[in-house]
Amino acid sequence: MSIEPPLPDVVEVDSEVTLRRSFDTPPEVMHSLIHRNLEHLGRFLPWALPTYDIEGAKAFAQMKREAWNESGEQGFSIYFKDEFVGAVGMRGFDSPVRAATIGYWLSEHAQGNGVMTRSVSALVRLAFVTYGLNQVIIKAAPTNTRSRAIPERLGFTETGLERQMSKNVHGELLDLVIYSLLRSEAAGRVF
Amino acid sequence: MSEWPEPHRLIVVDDDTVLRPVFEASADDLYALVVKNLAYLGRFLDFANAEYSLADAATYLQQSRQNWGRSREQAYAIIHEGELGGVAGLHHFGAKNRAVEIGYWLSEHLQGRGIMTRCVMKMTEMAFEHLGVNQVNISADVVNERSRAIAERTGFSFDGVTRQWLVNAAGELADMARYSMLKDEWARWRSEH
Repeated sequence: MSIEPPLPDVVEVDSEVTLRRSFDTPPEVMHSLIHRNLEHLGRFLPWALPTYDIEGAKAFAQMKREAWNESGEQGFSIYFKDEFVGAVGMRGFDSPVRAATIGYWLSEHAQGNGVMTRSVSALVRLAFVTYGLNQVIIKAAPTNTRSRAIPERLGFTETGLERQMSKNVHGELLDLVIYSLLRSEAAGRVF
Repeated sequence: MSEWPEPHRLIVVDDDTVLRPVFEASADDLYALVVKNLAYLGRFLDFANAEYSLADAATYLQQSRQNWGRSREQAYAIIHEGELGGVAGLHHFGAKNRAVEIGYWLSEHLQGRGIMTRCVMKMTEMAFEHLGVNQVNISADVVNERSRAIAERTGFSFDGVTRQWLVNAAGELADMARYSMLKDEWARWRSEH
């Protein structure tokens, strides 16, 4: 499949926050930020391993480049005041029930500025307005309070759990809390 | 781990009921059973519609044969008193988190005897003890009370609802109730029942 309209290369969220295709971020820059956040990210993500290296970052960028506009799964890098600080992605453009799932991570040093709330808002807008999707879903580990705060702040509804469906770098199975926002609930609200 | 053990080819559920690979059933029998239950099944299963044909039944059986043992989907015929009474399958094999899902349907004339409850318990047992999964999931349209009752009766936990996730027979989006059982919960359930 290919996505219509094609995904934007750049999403100008506001005067401080910009999203760019993840493979446009140089692998060295990607590697440097992730490496600095290994402990922070590894609590809730399976891939933030000590073995993560520059070759891994290059392979990831290449994979994302090839998948862009084809796989129904798109990743953006988040730039806050022109600095690369994290990532936000959406997949499920091609879902038969027109539901997309948004995932994200943010460098520890960039927390507390509303960067992720603004970035996710921009993707919610993209999902409903540009792509006419029916639903946006966000999943987070029960103890990942920072991550859960994003959908809660944006008025998503908590609808249940997926038990032991995620893993962290320590191999621990993690539950996921499921949040969703329906098109009908987003109508008339500003994102 | 990507390789799964070969699922059992015969599961004895009770004195009158066994599970056999569904592709051992004849397309004629499957077609007749679905047609007899068209209105009943059509409430929640999209294949059960007015266009359902003998060729659809044959195609399904052929696909089930191809998928058997390939970690994709294992569908069993529910044979009750020697006759095809429904289908119960294991699908959505998740290699990463070792989770499977059980799906099922049973002819209306066999309802109310606990047949499906016993079938689901046997399949759950096989999933944990033979396939070695970590988790078994069951999901159903939130308004499909009979289907949900099976999960509730067999000790699964209700994990919540995924909203507007299914397309029902009327072509409308429907909410899906999700249930799961984890390996350690199975062990506990087993020791208590």
